[in-house]
Amino acid sequence: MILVRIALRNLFLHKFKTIIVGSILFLGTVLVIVGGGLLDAIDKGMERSLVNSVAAHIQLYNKDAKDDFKLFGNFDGSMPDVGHIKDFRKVKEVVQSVDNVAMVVPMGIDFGVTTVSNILERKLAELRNAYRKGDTKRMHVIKNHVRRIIKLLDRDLQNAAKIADIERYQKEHGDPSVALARTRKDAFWDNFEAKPLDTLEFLENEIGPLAMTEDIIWVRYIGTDTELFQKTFDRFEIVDGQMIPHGKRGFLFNKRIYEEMVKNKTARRLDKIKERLGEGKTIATCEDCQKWIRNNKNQVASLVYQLDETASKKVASALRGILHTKMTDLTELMKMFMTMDDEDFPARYELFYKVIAPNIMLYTVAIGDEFVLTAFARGGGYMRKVPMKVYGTFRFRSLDRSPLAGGFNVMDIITFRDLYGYMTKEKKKEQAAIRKDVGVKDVKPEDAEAMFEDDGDLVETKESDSFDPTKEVDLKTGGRRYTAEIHKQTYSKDELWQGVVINAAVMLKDGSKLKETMGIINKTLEKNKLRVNTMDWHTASGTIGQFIGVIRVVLYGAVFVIFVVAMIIINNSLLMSTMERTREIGTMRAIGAGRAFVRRIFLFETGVLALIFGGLGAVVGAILMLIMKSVGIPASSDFFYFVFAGPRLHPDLLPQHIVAAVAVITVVGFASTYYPARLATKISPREAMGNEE
Amino acid sequence: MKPIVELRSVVKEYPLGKLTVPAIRGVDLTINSGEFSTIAGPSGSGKTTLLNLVGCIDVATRGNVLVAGQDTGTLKEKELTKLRLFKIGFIFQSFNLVPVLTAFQNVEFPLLLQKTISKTERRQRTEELLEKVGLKDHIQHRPSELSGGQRQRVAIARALVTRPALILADEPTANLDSETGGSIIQLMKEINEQENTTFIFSTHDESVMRSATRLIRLVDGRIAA
Repeated sequence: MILVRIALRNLFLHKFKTIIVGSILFLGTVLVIVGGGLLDAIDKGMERSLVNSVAAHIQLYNKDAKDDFKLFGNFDGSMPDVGHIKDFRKVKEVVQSVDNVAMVVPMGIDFGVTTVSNILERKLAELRNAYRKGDTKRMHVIKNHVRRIIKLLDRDLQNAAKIADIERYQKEHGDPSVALARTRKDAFWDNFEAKPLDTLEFLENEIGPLAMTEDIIWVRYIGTDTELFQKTFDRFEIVDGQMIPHGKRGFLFNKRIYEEMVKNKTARRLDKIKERLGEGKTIATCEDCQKWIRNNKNQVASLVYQLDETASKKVASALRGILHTKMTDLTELMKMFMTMDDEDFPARYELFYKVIAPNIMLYTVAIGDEFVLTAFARGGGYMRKVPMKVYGTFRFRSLDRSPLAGGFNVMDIITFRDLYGYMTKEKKKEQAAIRKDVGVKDVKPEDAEAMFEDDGDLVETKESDSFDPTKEVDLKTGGRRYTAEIHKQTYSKDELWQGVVINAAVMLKDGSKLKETMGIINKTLEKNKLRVNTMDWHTASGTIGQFIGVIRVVLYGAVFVIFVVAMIIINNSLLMSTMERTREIGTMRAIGAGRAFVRRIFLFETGVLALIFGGLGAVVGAILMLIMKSVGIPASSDFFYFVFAGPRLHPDLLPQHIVAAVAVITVVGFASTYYPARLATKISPREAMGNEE
Repeated sequence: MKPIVELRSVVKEYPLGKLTVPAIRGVDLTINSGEFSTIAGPSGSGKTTLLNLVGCIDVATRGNVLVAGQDTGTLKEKELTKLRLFKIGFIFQSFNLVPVLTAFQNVEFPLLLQKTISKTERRQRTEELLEKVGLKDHIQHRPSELSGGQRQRVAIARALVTRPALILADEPTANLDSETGGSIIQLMKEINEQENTTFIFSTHDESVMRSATRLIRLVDGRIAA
């Protein structure tokens, strides 16, 4: 074909221009194919991450909610006000009747805090406990430990400002050295046997606050039917301890949070340094590691306080051994020990876990322990405190390194409802009885403030041991019996499902039919007069879910810019060649070529260019995708772990991306050729006449 | 003898800003088929304009131009193109070959546009003509590899390949030395005699004028007696 011949010859004749325009087209095609493929793979990865960890395919929530549902909360970390679904069982029954629905899981997402008391306070609590049980032997051991701590505290008083909020202490209690001096005397402790409770109170009130401040741990949790949750979300797996037993109340820490927040800080920092070294870094080059080592050195007190007499001796001798020194002061030894470098780190890390760790509380809340979780009840804005038993830790498989999906802890739905503060009819009745018993007046939240102002009588003084779930009760001591009892109780599925949930997660059998199924669910809900909204996982996961959309926009923006540039360059170079070839085109017109023929010359030229370089780009793009598919792209950070749904991303080569690339190239080609071709057709055959020179 | 070109009171004016510049100021001319005629005159006398009108490249402002019996003033752009393709062959002063095509491809080109004859016939006719103009050994050469005379021979072959009734040549020897120019005129003359093809060419070369069977002198857009 003459046109192809002319086109090829022209392209060949202007090699430089051809290569530039061709490279742009090539790059654009590769970008469309690779970018599109990666985005789709990431989209799928995120879908796997989100759908199989907490989001499921569809989220259900109250249709009359004030805010839109957001699985991961607002930007400021708060949760949107989405009200609640009153009767989960009804909703479950209705939604479960839809064909494609596999599971409907009740959920409630909220925040709580728990405070971890300092070592002295903890020891004093142990002492009180031992006293209550009449365990004199244990009392003696703890007493000695407490005296040790006080001795250290006194010596460290010059550093007290660093370890405790000394200013606040002075305001409330006066000069701390006075109280410390008093407790260091033997007379004070001799008095313990005579007046144990008074002595304890003095220690708890005056000395306790001096020994390191309390740690507040923020806990984000999902209350759910834990069994159903485990069955539905296949990424969920227990790491330490065990699953919450059937029908029981209980709490599972997210392994990541457990390590990050609950583990002893020094131990955690050593772990993190080890992790970095495992990644091939050295302490000498890792600024974070150096910072962690400094922190460890400065905070040896937190470890030393935890060691009692016997442990101290054992640890000191071990440290002397590894440090080759005759020093006796444990604090100094510990400081020296914590000053680690690349050479001695492995041996010291090992010694830490062998000798020191067994003598300290490695986790402030151990598995099998209980802790008190405090949350703001949504109903009235008052605090609720509930004792939680920790059964174990869990992770979302292959997502455990990602803080995004890994940010949740799990608890039973019954406890969630307690914290949420919603009362069932029976509970209300029961509560009314208790209130009558203790003499609590019912106060509406809007009246509460006024009440505090004029010092109204909210509580009539009346001695009672009854537990009042609405009142702020310190469960550390008084709530023991309540705790033991609720943890024995087993709840039936009926009890778990019947009642309030914030939202519900719907897992589908076939996720690709998400849109249709959502429509059917909506209709079914409406037919049953249930005021429940549906939201797909993309939307429900908020910014995280929409992240992919943002990247898509960025990629398409880049592709757009590249092709606009390509269009301008192609357009420009074709205009140039139109002008250069005026005589040639005029000649063709003169000897009988029509305008259509001239137009075709240009279209063919661009077409051949696009075909060759676009085709090359498509082939290279496809090869790149196939390589990436077989090798996988490693996730370089926690964020990518989440986005890739694992340590490596294996993108697929999809035909639609090749089609898209071809379509884009075609459009760009024709759009950029249109104007120069049009100009060329207007060249008069007269141009052939006359002299060239 | 049958007239192949008839011009009746033809006027051609070009707009130049607000003015109109007359290039042809009333020409009556008949050229019969088989003629070997020259249009001569100083530059600006309207030679090229007259050729353009005859060659259906331009249309007269007033008057009638009949080519092969058709009044070009009544034809549409597409029909003019077709008329050029089938009835007229062109030879240009600067040869005007397509630089990216070989001699063979350049000659074959009008046949491809015509789309009326088969590939084998196309090939046969093209090779025959190239042989006739003495370029048998240069069939696969590109214009840049040929001398001026050789290029003009390719152009002649291209003009002849469609077997047109009329060949128009715009100063075909102006870019050639006199010897080469002479041989080109000789070649055209031969073809005129053998094939009875009508030739009209513009020139101001005296030796070219001498070989013509008819001389048309143009002065200021009019035919001088």
